[in-house]
Amino acid sequence: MSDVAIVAAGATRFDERIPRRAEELVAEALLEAFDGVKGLSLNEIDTLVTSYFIDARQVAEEWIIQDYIGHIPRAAFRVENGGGSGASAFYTAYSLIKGGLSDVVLVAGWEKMSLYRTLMANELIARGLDVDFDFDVGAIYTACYAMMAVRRMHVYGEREEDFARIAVKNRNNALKNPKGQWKRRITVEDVLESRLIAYPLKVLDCSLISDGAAVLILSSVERAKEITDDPVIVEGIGIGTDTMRLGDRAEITNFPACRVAARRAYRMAGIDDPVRDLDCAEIYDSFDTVELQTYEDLGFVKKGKGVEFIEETEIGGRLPVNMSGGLEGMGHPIGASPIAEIAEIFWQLRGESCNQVDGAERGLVHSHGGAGTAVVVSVLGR
Amino acid sequence: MGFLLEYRDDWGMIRPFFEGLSEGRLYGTRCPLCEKIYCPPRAHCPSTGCNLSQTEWVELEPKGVLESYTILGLSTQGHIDELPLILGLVRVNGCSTCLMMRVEAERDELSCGARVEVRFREDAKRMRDLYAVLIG
Ligand SMILES: [Zn+2]
Repeated sequence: MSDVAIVAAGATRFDERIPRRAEELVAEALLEAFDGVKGLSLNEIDTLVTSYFIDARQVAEEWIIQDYIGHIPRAAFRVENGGGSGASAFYTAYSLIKGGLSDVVLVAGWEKMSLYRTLMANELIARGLDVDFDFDVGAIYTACYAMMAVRRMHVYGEREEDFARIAVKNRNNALKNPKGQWKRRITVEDVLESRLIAYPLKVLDCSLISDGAAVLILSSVERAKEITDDPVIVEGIGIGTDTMRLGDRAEITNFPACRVAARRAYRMAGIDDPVRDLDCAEIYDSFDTVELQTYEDLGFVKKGKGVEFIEETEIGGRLPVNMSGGLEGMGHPIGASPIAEIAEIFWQLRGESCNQVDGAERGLVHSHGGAGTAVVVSVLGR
Repeated sequence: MGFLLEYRDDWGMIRPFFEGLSEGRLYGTRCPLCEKIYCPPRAHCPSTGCNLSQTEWVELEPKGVLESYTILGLSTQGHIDELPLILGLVRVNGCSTCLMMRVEAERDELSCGARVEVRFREDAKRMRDLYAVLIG
């Protein structure tokens, strides 16, 4: 069984509205990826694995993409796993190469959120809640995360200021990212004074609504040598799952699915002390509270102690997190976001990031769908 | 987006739960093997070892505990007029799971662990027709 490498990555800028069709966004991301490779042509990509989230307007949108980028008649399909779709597409691509079914796989994700008014975008995402129970009572996704946060405030004594520090870090990191959507330096006060979405979460505690696309090209390590001088190795990967309804869980302060995913990825990569063994991470900050909870579930710090770890996640800290700006700063085109997170770690390990962690050799990528219903953790190395 | 999506739902095997709402009764399902009580109800028990055994209906006393809550400043289109609204996770006494539902209370009275009673609006048909109030 061959080991698997990432040989190229590309992403469009993420923004509130980009005057491009979804397929044009994917083409632009793909052109960037191809800029960085030698000895590979489009027709050598034997399989395309795609990811997008909102089916409301165009169903089977992946069929437009595969046609547009000239991939037909070769194998292609979409992977759906909520907000974790992009990372699950990556997991699938990894498996295809590992299993010998494919040699070179393109992973492409996109979202065109500007097609929908903000209220409608929220509603379409909320339909990923159980529509007969949680959606029916008026819940949006933010409500589930808010109830987890209220529970943490009750159990661990966390404060809104603690959550806000993460939003500030990520948004201010995005100022260094030319592809980032967020362009204004903010403070904890800005977050606290922003508009209420679901107590204790305000609009600046939440990720952005974005257009954008991102791609990765994966191959066997043998083939990778012909494509690039600087491949990044997929050292470990894992998926964990949980109930769709928050109320069906035994635990709502943290994400058991993340712990399952991390355990698998760490075992594959031979990691037993993640803070020592990792140099940087991208965490799926759909809400700043998710990043906080995830420090604990990834084993960076003990349960209930996440707040103590926030300062370590700044550039220069023991384990910088969301150098790209994350979903709060770079942006959140749902089908593309996890792929952009992987791309950021790919660039970090090659020393090419716009917000570089010095000497980064091993990084982690965390993605998350539902309210922690599907969590994907990957470890990348040199 | 010129048309509204409409659905014809028959609620499947958990229909008795929704029929109970209109009578002001709260039903859950109990697994005969592990004895867990589910509300929201499930027709089959997913617990390890129960192998999706079929559950039995049990009537529940409409009282429980507020495990957590939030105050919404934004909701879906059908609920925008009701903002700000409070949602909570209510663990009905004896149940392994919680129902998400409306809470009618003053904000400063809300707390995790508060005891609540579940009430039914007239001619209740769906989850949105249930709400919890705080009790002593
Ligand atoms: Zn059982």
